[in-house]
Amino acid sequence: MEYKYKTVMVVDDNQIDLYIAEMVMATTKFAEKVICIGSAKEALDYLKPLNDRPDELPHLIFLDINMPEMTGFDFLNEYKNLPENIRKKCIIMMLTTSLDESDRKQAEENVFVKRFLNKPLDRDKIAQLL
Amino acid sequence: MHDAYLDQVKQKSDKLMNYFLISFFMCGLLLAFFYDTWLVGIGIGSLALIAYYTTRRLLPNSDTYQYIVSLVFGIFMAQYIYQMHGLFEMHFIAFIGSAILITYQNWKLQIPLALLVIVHHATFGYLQYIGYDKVYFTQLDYMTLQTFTIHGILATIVFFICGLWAWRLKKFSETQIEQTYEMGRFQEEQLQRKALLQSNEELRKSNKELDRFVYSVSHDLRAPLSSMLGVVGLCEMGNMEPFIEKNVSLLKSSIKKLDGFIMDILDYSRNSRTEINRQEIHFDDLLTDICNNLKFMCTEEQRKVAVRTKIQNGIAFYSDRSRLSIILNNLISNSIRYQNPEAADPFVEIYVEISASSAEIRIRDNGIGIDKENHEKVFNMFYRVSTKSVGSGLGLYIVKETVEKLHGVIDLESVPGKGTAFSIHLPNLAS
Amino acid sequence: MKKALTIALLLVTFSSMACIFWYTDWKYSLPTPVPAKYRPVSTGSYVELAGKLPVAGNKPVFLHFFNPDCPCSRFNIPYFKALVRKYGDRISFGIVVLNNQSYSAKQIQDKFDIDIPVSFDSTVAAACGVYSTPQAVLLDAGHHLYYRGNYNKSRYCSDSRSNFAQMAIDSLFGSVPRPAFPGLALKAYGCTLPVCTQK
Repeated sequence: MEYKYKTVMVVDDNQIDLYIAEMVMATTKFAEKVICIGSAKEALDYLKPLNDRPDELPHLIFLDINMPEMTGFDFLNEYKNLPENIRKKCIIMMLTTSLDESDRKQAEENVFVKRFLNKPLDRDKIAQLL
Repeated sequence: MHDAYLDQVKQKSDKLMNYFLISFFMCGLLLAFFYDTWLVGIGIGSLALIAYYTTRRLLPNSDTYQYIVSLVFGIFMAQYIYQMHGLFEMHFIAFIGSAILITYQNWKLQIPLALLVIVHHATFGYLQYIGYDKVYFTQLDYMTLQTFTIHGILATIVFFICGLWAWRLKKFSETQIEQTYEMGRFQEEQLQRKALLQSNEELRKSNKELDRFVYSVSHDLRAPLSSMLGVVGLCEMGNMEPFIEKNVSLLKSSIKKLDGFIMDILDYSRNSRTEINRQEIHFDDLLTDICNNLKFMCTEEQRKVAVRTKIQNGIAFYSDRSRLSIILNNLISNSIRYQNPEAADPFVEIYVEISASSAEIRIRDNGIGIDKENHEKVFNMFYRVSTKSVGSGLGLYIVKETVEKLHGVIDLESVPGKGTAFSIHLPNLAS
Repeated sequence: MKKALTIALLLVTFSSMACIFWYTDWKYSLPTPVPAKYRPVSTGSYVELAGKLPVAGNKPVFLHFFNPDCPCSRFNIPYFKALVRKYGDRISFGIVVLNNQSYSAKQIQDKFDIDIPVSFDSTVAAACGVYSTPQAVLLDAGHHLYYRGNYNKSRYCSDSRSNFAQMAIDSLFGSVPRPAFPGLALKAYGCTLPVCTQK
């Protein structure tokens, strides 16, 4: 069975949630390579040097909102300052437990965010993305 | 407020009167030295004071004693004239008395004094004129009619002016009081307004804090739950022994229950404290969203419940979308949850009729129904009808609160074993 | 209840005042009681003044009987002064002081503010038949009693129509006929003479 995506990145400060995402994607053969990053800052640091090697950039980025130090929205603010190569390649999905309407609205207004998903990530939600 | 001022005027004037009357009495004693007029000086003076003070003591609440004091001034004048055996200048005492009376701010007090002077003059002048010999008080030169008239007119003018000043003083103090009162009221209003603004500000602040608190708490409570559900999902994706599988399933339902409860609290908090967001409602979209969310509700044990919708469109309907979503979500999920296992074809039917002034929404199912005696109680907080109740007990309470927040009305019809129908009337917030 | 009491009290007070006034006036109108050993001196009798009062010889004499302690006498002062001012050149005026305390002549003259002879001899009173103060005694040029009586209708009266002393003077000088002096003029009123306690 073919993997849908080659590389996917998940950004979440919760270890268990990272583990769940990884396992679900592996089981559903959603992505060949899943990069788990524990903070938004680390994610930016990972992406920046990949400007020269766009092949290694993830196709999708699953982004949690509520993270310490730098939230998902802070990441989005920094993201728009990244070079165009990166921005063109990566599609961002918000993945969060937040039920707040304003969060949803803010995410959907952002030009880089494709979808707004509620945790937990499971088989059915992945199926929707295919 | 005016009465308090009048009281003050009265008290101050009374105090002044004490001093004046004592002085008058002393003058009487002084004058007695001239011609040994002790009987008159002491007798008349003390009788006058007795008349005044007893009236004041016996009838403290009426102003009769003030009229008595007016007479007393006239009497003292007569006394001094008598003591000096006709010294005409003593008539000025009447004018002094007239001026003193201004302090009571009552022009009517001039009357007894004026009357005493005029009647006394007129009577004795007349008696003198007709030559009545036996009368006393005829120590003065014969008073011609002309003299009498001139004196009368001048005296009346003095009394009139004093009365006028008394009246004007009263009017002036009345306007002063009113103005002060108005000013005071205005200031009070200002203060109240300021206090109100301040408390509004504080309320706004604490509401905002509460909002953030609720948001944080619900979020921090839900995060681990979602992790748990995720892990449970992982288990389900693998191969499990029936024993483990059963346990995992129980785990899952408990977690979902807890999560549902937290979301109910969130809904309740948001409903009671956020503003109504007016927007146009597209019922078809709304119901589609809700049904999508609820698709995942049915477990294998439950049968799929058919959701039928009938929307009469045409007129635009405006209301708060998120609140409407909460209402419909709760009612529809209830219908699914409490379906009748014996019914062949379980369904929930949503019927919407929109008019210019309102929307009538009817949610009808053929579930297990609710007993008539519980029709009122189901809307209570944390009320659960039976042990078979699956929810938190908050659902219908939240529905009712939300409907009422939108200024609507909700009704319940139900027959146990047959089904339940909820009717909601919501005003169209079109304008 | 209180109203009735107040009204009653006021009525009593005011009528008491009226009574006082009435009573006092009545007292004032009473004539002086005639002393026990009074010897009347009729008009026309000769009054010996020699040695008692330094008055000029051939002018009419007006004697003013005065007691500083007597209120009616004190009241009388301005009227007497007016008479002196009016007739001082034609009549010899003199004051006879009837009093127990010793005043000096100067003090009496200061009271009146006029410079006329003062006598303290009480026998003059008996000689003139005077038994109260104030009294006016008018002697003609020959020192015969022309008028002895009150100054006015009543003690404190100043009605110019009944100014008897003035009328007496006028009639003496012949400008008006001698009026028939009513009882009010002749029946003396005023303070009784003090009993002489000095010797």
